[in-house]
Amino acid sequence: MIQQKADLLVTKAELYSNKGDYRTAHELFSKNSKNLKSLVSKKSKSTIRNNLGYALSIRSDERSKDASRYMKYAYNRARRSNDISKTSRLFYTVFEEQMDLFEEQRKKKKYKKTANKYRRTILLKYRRKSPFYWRYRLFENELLIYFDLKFRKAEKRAYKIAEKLNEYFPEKHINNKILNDQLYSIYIRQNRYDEAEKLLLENNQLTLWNYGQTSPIYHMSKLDEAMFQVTFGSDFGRAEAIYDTSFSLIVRPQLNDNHEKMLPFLNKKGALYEKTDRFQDAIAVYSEAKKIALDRFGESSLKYGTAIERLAGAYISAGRYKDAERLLEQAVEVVRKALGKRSIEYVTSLRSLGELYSINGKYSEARKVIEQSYKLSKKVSDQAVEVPEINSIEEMADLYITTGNYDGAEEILQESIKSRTRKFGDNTYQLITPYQLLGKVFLLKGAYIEAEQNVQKASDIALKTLSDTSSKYIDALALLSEVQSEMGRFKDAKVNLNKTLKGNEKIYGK
Amino acid sequence: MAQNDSNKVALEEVSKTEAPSIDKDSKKRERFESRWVKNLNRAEAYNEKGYYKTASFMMRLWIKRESKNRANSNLMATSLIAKSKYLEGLGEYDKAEQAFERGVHILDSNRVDPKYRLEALNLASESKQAKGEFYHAYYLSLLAKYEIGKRVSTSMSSEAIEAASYKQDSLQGFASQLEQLENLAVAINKAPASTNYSNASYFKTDYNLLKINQGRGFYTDGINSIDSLLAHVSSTLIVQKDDLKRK
Repeated sequence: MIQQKADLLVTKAELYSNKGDYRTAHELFSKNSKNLKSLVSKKSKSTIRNNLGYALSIRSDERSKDASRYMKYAYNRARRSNDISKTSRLFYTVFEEQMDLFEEQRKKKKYKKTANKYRRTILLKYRRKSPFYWRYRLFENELLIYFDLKFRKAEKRAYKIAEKLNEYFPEKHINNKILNDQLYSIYIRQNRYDEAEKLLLENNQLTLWNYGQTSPIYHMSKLDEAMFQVTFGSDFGRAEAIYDTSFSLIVRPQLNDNHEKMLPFLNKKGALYEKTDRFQDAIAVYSEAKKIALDRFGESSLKYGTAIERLAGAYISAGRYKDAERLLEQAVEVVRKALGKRSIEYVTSLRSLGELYSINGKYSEARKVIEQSYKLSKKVSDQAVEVPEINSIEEMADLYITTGNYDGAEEILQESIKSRTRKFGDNTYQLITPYQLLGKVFLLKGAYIEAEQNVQKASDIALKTLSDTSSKYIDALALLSEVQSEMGRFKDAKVNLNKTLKGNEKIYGK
Repeated sequence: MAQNDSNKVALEEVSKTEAPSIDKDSKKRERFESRWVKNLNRAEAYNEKGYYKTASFMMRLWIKRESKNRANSNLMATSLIAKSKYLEGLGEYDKAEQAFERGVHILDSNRVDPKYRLEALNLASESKQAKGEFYHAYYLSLLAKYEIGKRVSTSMSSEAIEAASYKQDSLQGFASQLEQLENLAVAINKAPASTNYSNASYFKTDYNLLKINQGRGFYTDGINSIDSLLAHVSSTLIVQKDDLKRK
């Protein structure tokens, strides 16, 4: 019974850590390290689990330096322990968690060193034909993805590993998810979104089989799909349905607000509302995220900086420019101090600030800020996996249009349409604004036929990917009617204008 | 080692409860079973430390012996399921699945025979947990809970779970049975005898359910149930200490 008690004490701390209540988890883990001494030996399995759990909870709490120290401590204990062998799963888990941490800290040398140790340990007892060896190869392959950025080579290697793993693992084995996750990150970096989406659906099936339909882990996997739709796809209806059921009813009750996944979940939910024109809802969600970031990380943290930047973006969309400007200036400062200028977060906050200056008529400031963000965006575009629209082309083009530089606007918009079509396909949400802006440019230049073609494309895509009540669709229709009236086609213009009016009535009421 | 210790006590209890038989054959069988129990405990200890190969080898020998005598006994089923758990650790998934299927099939055909059934179900749940199939593990642990219910309450055996067998082909049929079992588990938990952790198998079932909750992401539910489990374990520990003092 003594051993059981020790196991239960560690499990309790682990549960709090899994839930995201890191403060209680830390307390319990440190209490355990004292209490376990009277129950089991220093190198027992429970003690090693306690050390590892402590390291993981510290890591989730964004204190990766301390986590590294505790992880090493767990490793040393495991290495010298008589209670777990070198073939034990726990020992392998320690290696894999260490490698994960070094990947996060971008420490290539340490990652490589640990990978070598891991390989040697596996080959001590198993041959190259064992599934553990190929699982190790999968982890080793991450070197190519996250450190060397050689995606093609990584992809080829991943296929080879997949072939081998298929020989060992059953079709529905949960280990296949690791392979899928790796291929997913490769595809995303190569802008192969259709293939990436298929992998997410496959992962959903795997988690459904292994964890069951009611399990929060399955619903977290579904939330990954929703987040994908918000970021890279355009099926916002599906994303919303997942958020309504999986997030609100199943995942949220199981997680603490401080859980490491809570902020990403909320941010994407806010983005979903923003993209579907529900700015007040977006503001409510972003405000919640801001509060969590402030409570957890403090006012000078990067997380807080990005949270207020997002909130400011929603304020701009809702027309609350004063609130937005105050927040954005604060955000730019916080992000610059926390990360420096060469960061995605700094670029996005500059972009929003530029957009705001432009709206407020401060064209010279807007130009300065947008140009700076445009330049920096080229330097950080490799890291911007989660922000596919990092470049500030739309804001830049809008500014050019306002200041009368139509040729400049046309050039960058054509370039943007080309690259986005290549990335996302030709019927995607990301193309609505560029087509619309291009239409506006042609209208101002007097090239009405081109203007009509581009605006028509924008409205078609908006209708297909959003709905007939979306502001993007209605804006496109209004512009279309403007083009048609310039062309003298008053009948068509009237039809479109009526549609615009009806749409606006639907949104804002009579 | 928790599993190891709990198995040890649990299985010894099972062999003790058997009425001493007079004839030679049954005495021989008893000796055989007590040796098997010791061996299974040792194999579990090896498995806990990560020596999966040794553990599976030990079980292989016993399966060979038992297949000559009683190929369809619950002891055989338990051995096969234990072996499948060790093979999972070794990464030999196909062989593990085969052993598991065989074991569960035997267990299913001996549904009325309670001997080693609870222990086999606990082991089966652990085997599925080792594979990462927490949903199936959950079902098996609920079956184990049902088994406890039958032992602690006479009314339980007449409960309407005729088809309380383990079939993993379809998730659909699975879900409705699972719901029935979940309701039963709530009723069983109300009986104080079901949390008598001096019987280590009872503890093991609840511990497995806790680990499965953790694995499936039911953290809040896990936190809610762990304190009562800890309290029971602590009180059992105190009783055990007092017993030792008295002796």
